[in-house]
Amino acid sequence: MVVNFSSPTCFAESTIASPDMFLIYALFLSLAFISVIAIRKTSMSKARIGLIYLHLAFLFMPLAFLSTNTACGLMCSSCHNNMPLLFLYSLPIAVLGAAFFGFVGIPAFYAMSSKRIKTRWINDFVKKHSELMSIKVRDVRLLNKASPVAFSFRSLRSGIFLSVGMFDVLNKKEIEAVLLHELAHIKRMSSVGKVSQKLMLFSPFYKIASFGHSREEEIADEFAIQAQGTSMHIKNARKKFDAF
Amino acid sequence: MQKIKFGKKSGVLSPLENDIMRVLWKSGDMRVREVQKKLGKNVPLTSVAVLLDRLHCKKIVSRKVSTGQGGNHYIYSPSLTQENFQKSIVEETVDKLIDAFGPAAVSYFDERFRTKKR
Repeated sequence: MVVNFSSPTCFAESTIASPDMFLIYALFLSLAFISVIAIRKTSMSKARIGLIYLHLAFLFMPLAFLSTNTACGLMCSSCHNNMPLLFLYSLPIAVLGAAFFGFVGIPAFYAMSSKRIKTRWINDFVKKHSELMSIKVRDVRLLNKASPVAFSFRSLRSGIFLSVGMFDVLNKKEIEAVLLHELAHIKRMSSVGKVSQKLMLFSPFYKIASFGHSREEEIADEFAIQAQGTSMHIKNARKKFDAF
Repeated sequence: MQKIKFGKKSGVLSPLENDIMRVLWKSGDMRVREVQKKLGKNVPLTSVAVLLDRLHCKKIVSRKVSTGQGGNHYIYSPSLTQENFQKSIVEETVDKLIDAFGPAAVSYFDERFRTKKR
């Protein structure tokens, strides 16, 4: 990239609002729509995750394009108003932006709005089972919420999140069943798929994508049943979750 | 005639909410399980938790998180004494009626007070 800071006038010559550029933005939106149709027709979870990120990248492409072109213009770089170069720089920015939001932004948001659970039996239980499953769980965190809620993230800081309401309405065995269910999710990296699906909420095409009840939930339940030797606790926990 | 909108608090409590409030006014700070036990009926724990959360949203009860050996729980307590709660409902209702009906409501209340005094 050739950067020439001596000429400040090049930014004024921008063509980002030209009819040609609007055609390109329309093309990106069409690609975003096509990728949603592909998401709808794909059942394989890994392929689906890839398509979701591609869809979001296409969707945010006009924004990435505009900001990249503005940055190029400010630096009087050769990429300013240069379509192939702009595309080359914008695509990784859009993909990285979407991935950063999903893997770092969302877990960090929940980590900030929760506090670490210091209850010994919970931490011992998670430590014991995560070691048996050869996974790393950084901590179990508490959400200030009255409804029973539990979820987990497999990211830079894998963690399990439980709400205060869980402790209010679930007994110890039921909480253990929920913890085993979440550990299974972390082991299988289900959160990557789940977060990707949640990210789709930012898309205007969300309703077309049609996300059904994931098989991942059933697999995580089966793991908890196998580990506890009974389906009673996870079933009771589910009933209490549904009552709210 | 304009529709009168009563506040969240003055919306009449459901029979079960009323029972929960009676328990809290009588016994003070309590966990969900303790409230359920004191109710002495076959009320599901989840229903008690849902209603306590609803009362918290209406600011009728306050709560804080307590950490114990069993984990983390909410401790619920009434925001107002029973007397002050009743007073606040009457106040809010009377204010709304005066706002809606103006002098007609005032003269009616005046009449009612005079009849009662006699």
